[in-house]
Amino acid sequence: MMSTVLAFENVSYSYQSGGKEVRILDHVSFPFDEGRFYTILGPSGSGKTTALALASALDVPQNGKVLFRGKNIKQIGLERYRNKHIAIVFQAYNLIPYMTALQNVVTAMDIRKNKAKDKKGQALEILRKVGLSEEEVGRNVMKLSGGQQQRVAIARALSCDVDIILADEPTGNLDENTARDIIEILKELAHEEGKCVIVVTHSNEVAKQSDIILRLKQKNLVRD
Amino acid sequence: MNFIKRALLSVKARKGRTFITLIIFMIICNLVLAGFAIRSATEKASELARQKLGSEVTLEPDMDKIIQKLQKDSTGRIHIDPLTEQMAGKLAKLDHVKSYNYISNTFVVADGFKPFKTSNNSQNQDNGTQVASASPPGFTQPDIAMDGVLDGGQLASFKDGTNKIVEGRQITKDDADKQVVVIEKHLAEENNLKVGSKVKVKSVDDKTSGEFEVVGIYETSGSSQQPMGMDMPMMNPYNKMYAPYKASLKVTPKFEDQEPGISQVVYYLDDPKNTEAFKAAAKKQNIDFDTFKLDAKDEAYKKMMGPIENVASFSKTVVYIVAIAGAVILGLIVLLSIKERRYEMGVLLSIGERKGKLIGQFLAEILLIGSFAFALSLFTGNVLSQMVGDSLLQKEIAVSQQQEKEQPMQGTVHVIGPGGPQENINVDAIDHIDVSATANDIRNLGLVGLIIAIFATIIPSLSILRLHPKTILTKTE
Repeated sequence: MMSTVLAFENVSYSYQSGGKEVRILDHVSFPFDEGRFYTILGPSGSGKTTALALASALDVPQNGKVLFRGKNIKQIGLERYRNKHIAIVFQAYNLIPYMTALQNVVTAMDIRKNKAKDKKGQALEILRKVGLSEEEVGRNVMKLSGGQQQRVAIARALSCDVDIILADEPTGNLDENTARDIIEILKELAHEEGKCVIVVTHSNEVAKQSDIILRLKQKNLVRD
Repeated sequence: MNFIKRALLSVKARKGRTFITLIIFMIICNLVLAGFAIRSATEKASELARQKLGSEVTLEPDMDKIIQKLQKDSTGRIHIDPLTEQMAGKLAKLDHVKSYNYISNTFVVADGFKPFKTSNNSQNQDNGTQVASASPPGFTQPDIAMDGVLDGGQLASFKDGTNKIVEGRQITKDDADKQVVVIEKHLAEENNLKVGSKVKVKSVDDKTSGEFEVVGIYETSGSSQQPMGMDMPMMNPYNKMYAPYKASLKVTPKFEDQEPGISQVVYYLDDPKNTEAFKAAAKKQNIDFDTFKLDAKDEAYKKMMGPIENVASFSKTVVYIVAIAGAVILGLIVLLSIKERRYEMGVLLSIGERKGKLIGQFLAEILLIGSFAFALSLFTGNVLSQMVGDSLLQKEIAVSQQQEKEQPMQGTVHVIGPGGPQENINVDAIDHIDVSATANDIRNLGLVGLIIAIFATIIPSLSILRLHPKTILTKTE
């Protein structure tokens, strides 16, 4: 029996544009279960990234609640929620530019207070798992290709033993083969490690790989 | 503590910015250290100047103020209370006073013995060109200077060897009520006086006289040549005699029926460094400091210390300006750095880093660079401090010498005769200070550096940390 790990409860979100309020999400309610791979599809400007930002506590809804295991994330504390329960993979990778791939992963482990005795060893193992060589992990991230940087971003997400992995167009900048590899890794995370993986994408190919496809229609999340 | 690790990585990775910050921090550290070191050197020089000038503080009539009062008074007459034993006793009880001495200066007329005359004096008299008497009507021209004292051995002229007892003994406190006197060797020889001989003197108003037993004979190394070509026997150091102050007051003429008072009270302190503390405590006593003044050879001290004090004051200003300007410059660098690194902060916040730790990272980076600058300035600071100190001091000395040339003795009344200066103090301005940073200066530099680093980091950090991670990432992308 899969339990709900994350839920939107009557979530509404709007922003100001040209003095007008533009509503982008309107009373969205949806549960996300652990061990599932979700994709959210929708045209540009439909609110996909906003939904992801709300799920990752990078932003807060004007109305409604985001619940983690039934508890409002505001009560948990946004910083604490981001630190303990979620990992984000950004389309732009968002790696720390003056660090190597290995240092990026170890830094994330430090911030999340990963208690592993050999953090470096664990980070190396994860980096190898996502397909980076010994030489590549010691290289400054800015000297890696887009695909390699995305692998580092995924490794960083994997290094934190969290319940939810959120990814914003993780394959958007990657070639077909690399994209396929990345999606495979995400699928494994959901099915083998019981994580709740939510991916925002434009790609129907990626969506086909997921367990549940959600579409943003009329400011609401609708299951296909 | 991962933010410290990140700070280390960031400092290492951003070599250009690190270098610029290091240079700026080093300049700040060097100038602040120079300021502190110069201030310390000034304090040391001040102590040395006090040591050199001795631990004597004199309570005496303030002639400058008295003359100013006279000039303001339309009648040209003002009442001035004499300096009494009671007033002097108040200060004698204060802390740091080791002993004290009374001095009452007067001029008297030799009665039955001849004052010592220089050959110049004799020639003038022979030529009939004697200097005109300055004595008012009814007063006889004096020929002997009599200094009444409580303890002759305490007088600076006997302490520094200018005067030396060659026969008999010194005037002591036990002589307070006695009619005894110590005379100069030349005067004694001129009149064939010996210890045990009696001498008689009269007051200049001819109203009182006294007979004194010679208890001691001293020899002075002071010149018998008189200043400015004057030829007054009472100004000749050979015609000076020392008597107990009470005995000397008996032959001092009354001024408008007012009993004469002590001319000066000299307080000998336990340590020259306590001079200012003693003066401060004395000012709180019930003594009319519009009429009397406390002088710790202040003119000489001012002359010695004036240029250094100006340097110290300038260096203090430099410390303030450099510290403020330094904090502002470093703050701007941090602000620019934060703006450039919004993306990095957004990433770290999205991973779950706390905002406080981001500030901690910036602070750690600045402190890390600051520590290097601090360490380097310990080597360079001393050299720079000495150079700056010397250069400023030479400039100040030049200015003060120029002012002295332009305005000699401005604002000071010089009195010749009773109540006038006892000794001429000929001192030069201190023209060298040994500037070296003390442990205290280094500690102060560390403290100022820390405050600069905290201000330069925390204030700019507050602006950016109000932003939400999503906003930071969105604005950057």
